[in-house]
Amino acid sequence: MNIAIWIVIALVIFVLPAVSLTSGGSRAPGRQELEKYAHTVGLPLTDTVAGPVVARIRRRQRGMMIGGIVAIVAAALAAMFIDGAETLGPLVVGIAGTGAGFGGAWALAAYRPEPTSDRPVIARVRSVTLADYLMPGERFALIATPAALALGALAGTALLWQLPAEVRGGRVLLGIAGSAFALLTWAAAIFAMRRVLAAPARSGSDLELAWDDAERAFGLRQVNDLVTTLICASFLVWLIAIGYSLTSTGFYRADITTAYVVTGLSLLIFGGLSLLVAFGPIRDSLGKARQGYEQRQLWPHGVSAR
Amino acid sequence: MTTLLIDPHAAYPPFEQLRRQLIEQIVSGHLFEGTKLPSVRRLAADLALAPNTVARAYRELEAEGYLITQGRNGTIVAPRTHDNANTSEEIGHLTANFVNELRRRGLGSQAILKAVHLALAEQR
Repeated sequence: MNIAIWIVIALVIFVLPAVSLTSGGSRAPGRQELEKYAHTVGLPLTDTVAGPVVARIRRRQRGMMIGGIVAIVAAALAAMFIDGAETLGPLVVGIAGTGAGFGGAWALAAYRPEPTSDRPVIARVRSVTLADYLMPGERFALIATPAALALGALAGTALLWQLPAEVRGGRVLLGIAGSAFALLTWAAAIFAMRRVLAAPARSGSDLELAWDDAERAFGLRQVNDLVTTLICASFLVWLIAIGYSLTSTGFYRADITTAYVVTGLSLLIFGGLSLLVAFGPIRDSLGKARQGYEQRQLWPHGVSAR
Repeated sequence: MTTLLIDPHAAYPPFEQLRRQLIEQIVSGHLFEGTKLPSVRRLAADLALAPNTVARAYRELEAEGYLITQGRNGTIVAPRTHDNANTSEEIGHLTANFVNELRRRGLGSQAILKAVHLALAEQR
């Protein structure tokens, strides 16, 4: 498929919907759109805080837009250089989502307020951790990722090694490259999340600070979700490598037993690993517990609407 | 209260506002033992203060036994010793007696606060 089509798909699926509220940070949302957004966040939006809140949303969405576009361009160039965008085109779609997530986190982490203020300012009196923003299932996915990737790489190598050298070709390297890329993305995500947690939150009221928490939770969650998706995609790379090895050379007809065993084991192992990593985030996102989680953690007695 | 408020137009300088609020939250139990405080840089940026101001407040509170600095692990609220607990209880008791006495004489909250401010200013 033409690379232009993949770019359009990446924009339409990942980048544009995620930044639609402010058109990528280029405009302030209308009152109705804002109220709808406030309803999903679960916080009141008074006239006093509307200005700073809109500025925060625009800043994050601008970061997402820039991150998404940079990722699309980089991935498209890489795909064209590597194989003329014949088979690596879908890479653009996956990378676009990750770029948008990292772009949003970068916008949150890079924010530096004025060193002085002529109005009263407030700050939270205790330090915050990832546990204040991400639910246990989401955090488990993050912690389990390196072990899951290592297990996946070991299992994938062992399974491909059951096939003759001419059948497996260079696909072990392809699988390991996918796992290594996922591991690098995970490390970058951990770094980005720490920076987001350490970024200042200049606020004039409890409500404004609660909105800052909500925006921060959104940015962190997006990075976490996209990293989880990428980890699962790296397991898919192993499955494709194994499946392609079995079918492209007709090996599945030559040695039916080995082909069945390798297929069954690879589905079991990579399905299990995907479940291990994705179960927590999926479970947390399906229930209503994720909505307002950071408010319950950081504002156990509620937020005053002033 | 789970937040600190710094008002640039308040009667006290930001350092004193920060110090007093931290003590108040520790003594009242809102900030309990072992709670990790924000890093100096983060709190300074949040409150639009110079990092030195926050660092000085942390240092003073550490010297007074309210906080403990654990190197790279940051600053945490110190355990309340028996003496500390007794002192804060005693202070609370004395303050309540003082406020009750002034109220009995017909003073309102603002007048009581003004009297305290005046007395503190005179002792400086």
